[in-house]
Amino acid sequence: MKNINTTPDSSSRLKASKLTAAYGDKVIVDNLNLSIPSKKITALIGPNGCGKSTLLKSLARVLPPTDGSIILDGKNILSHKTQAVARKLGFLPQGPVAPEGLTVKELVSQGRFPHQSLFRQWTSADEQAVLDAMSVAKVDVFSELYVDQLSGGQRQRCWIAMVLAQQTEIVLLDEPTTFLDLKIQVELMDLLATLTHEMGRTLVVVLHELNLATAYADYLVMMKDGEVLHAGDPVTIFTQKTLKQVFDLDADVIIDGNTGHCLCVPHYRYANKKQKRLKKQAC
Amino acid sequence: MLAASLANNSSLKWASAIGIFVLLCLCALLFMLHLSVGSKSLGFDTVFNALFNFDPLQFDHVIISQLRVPRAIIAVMVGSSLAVAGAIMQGVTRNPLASPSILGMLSGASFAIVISLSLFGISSPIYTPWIAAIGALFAVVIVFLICLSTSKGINSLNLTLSGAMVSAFLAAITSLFSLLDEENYDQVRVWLTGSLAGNNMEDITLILPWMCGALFISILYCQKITVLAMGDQVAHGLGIKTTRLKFELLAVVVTLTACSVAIAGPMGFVGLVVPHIVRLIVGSDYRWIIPSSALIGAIFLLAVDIAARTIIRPEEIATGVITAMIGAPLFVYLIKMKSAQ
Repeated sequence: MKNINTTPDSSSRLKASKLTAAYGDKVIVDNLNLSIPSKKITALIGPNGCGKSTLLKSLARVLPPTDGSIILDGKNILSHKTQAVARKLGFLPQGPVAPEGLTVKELVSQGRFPHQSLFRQWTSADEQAVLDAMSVAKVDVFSELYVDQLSGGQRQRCWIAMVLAQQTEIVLLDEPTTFLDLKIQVELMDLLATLTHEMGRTLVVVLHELNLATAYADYLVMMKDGEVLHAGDPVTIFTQKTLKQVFDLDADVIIDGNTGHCLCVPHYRYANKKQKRLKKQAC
Repeated sequence: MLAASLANNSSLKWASAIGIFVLLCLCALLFMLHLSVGSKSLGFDTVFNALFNFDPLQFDHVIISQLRVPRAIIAVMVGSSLAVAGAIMQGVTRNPLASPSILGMLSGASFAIVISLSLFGISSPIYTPWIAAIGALFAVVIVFLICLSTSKGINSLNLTLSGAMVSAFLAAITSLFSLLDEENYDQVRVWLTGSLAGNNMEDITLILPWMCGALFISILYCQKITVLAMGDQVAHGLGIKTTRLKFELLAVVVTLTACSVAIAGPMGFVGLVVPHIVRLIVGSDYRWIIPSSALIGAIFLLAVDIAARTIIRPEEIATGVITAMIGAPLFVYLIKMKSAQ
């Protein structure tokens, strides 16, 4: 039954191979295999505690695996120099907090750190990368303001600009849309889609919003208890049955006639009863 | 838009560079003033001659070169070291309250020095910096162990609270020993309040290279500190080996603190107040914070020591008393100003 996507993908640059990750004795991700398709948006979804953030941190080499490995460009990621990895792969953790009194431009400039050294200081290429990143993420208008004065959505765009300034082909983002208004969530996802489809970046995003995930993901990964249960095109794997299996959620999956995206419509028990009652009263 | 933002950026850089230059001038001016005041006031011309046209037969020149110059150098070095140590700690722990005094390092260092004096009779200036370093390291390790043993781990509140507790506990034991051991206590009484007096050039030359080295490394590391201050995971993602960097910075901070305590005793508030003033002026980029902290720390301690030596002339007050008397209200004012923003 476990038709897990170990299908070797020759174009994939980033892979988890027999990955086991744990916090202390608590194993979160167990013997997991996954290839991240290049130049696509991969969305990781699953119930709370399923290990999706842990998997992302392992992929970003921020959390060293207890067993197995992460392979970047055919080599164990931990055998690369960490600063060299930072030129290929950017990572934005969940809910980052900027220090007080840091301006937007200063924050975004930190994304150039992996490209600098004691002997190679700030260059015009660095300056250009920062300006480009700020304009793509639409934070250039407040480049001289303090990050802590901005709204949640604007702040998240600044962090994304920082990762963009890093100019990596692979970008890993942990719940970039959490706690934001729906409109802002959609704007952010549009920004991420631009990065992939117009700028050819490989994105891996942990998402909570199922409908956002199915709308934007080219490759959907459904996780439960530290394992990948399903992975593939959202239209084929995101079904009533898999939702029940992965999330223990009773829901219908409908295909939106306009866009062809899958939509998850949960069975709201009380609300549905109320609807029926209202219908009866109307009769 | 592009040109405007570039111009803006470069004008900002100019402003900061001019700021550093002004601070340097102010520091030099206070250094000269520091040399001229004291139980006997000497004119700037005498100071100038003593420095650049030394005449060993003139008593005033001897006072300046033997007593006042070492003291002024100590004020500059201790002020810079404590301020930079505080700035680094605040960045690494992402806690604006972190400083050598609040995380127990000053009490740890003075605890170790008093204990080794009382129990083993060690008072040689060759050993004191090392003993101070062991004490400071011991205190900060205990503070972090206490934090790790709680369920919340290392966070701002835990660090500050356990730092205050370890500080109070070690200070109590230090007092106990110094009260029981009256003979040695006389030696350390003034030093324990923080004092810049009573050091000769030989004592300083033992310590100065360490302080200069640690300050130099701080400046080399300032960009990494900015990245680290954005959080461990972000820093790791940007290619920093966070654990290693933290240990390296701990070594720098322990060196700066231990050297300061060894020559000047536990001088409170410099490491807390100065980085706060600096951040109000230059923001959160450690490439500016570290050099500015060094300069403003030196200026602060020079100014305080000038006050300590002139208020009840010809007597003088221990400098540590004045740093606390000025530092505490200044800090309250800074907090008020920040919350008003």
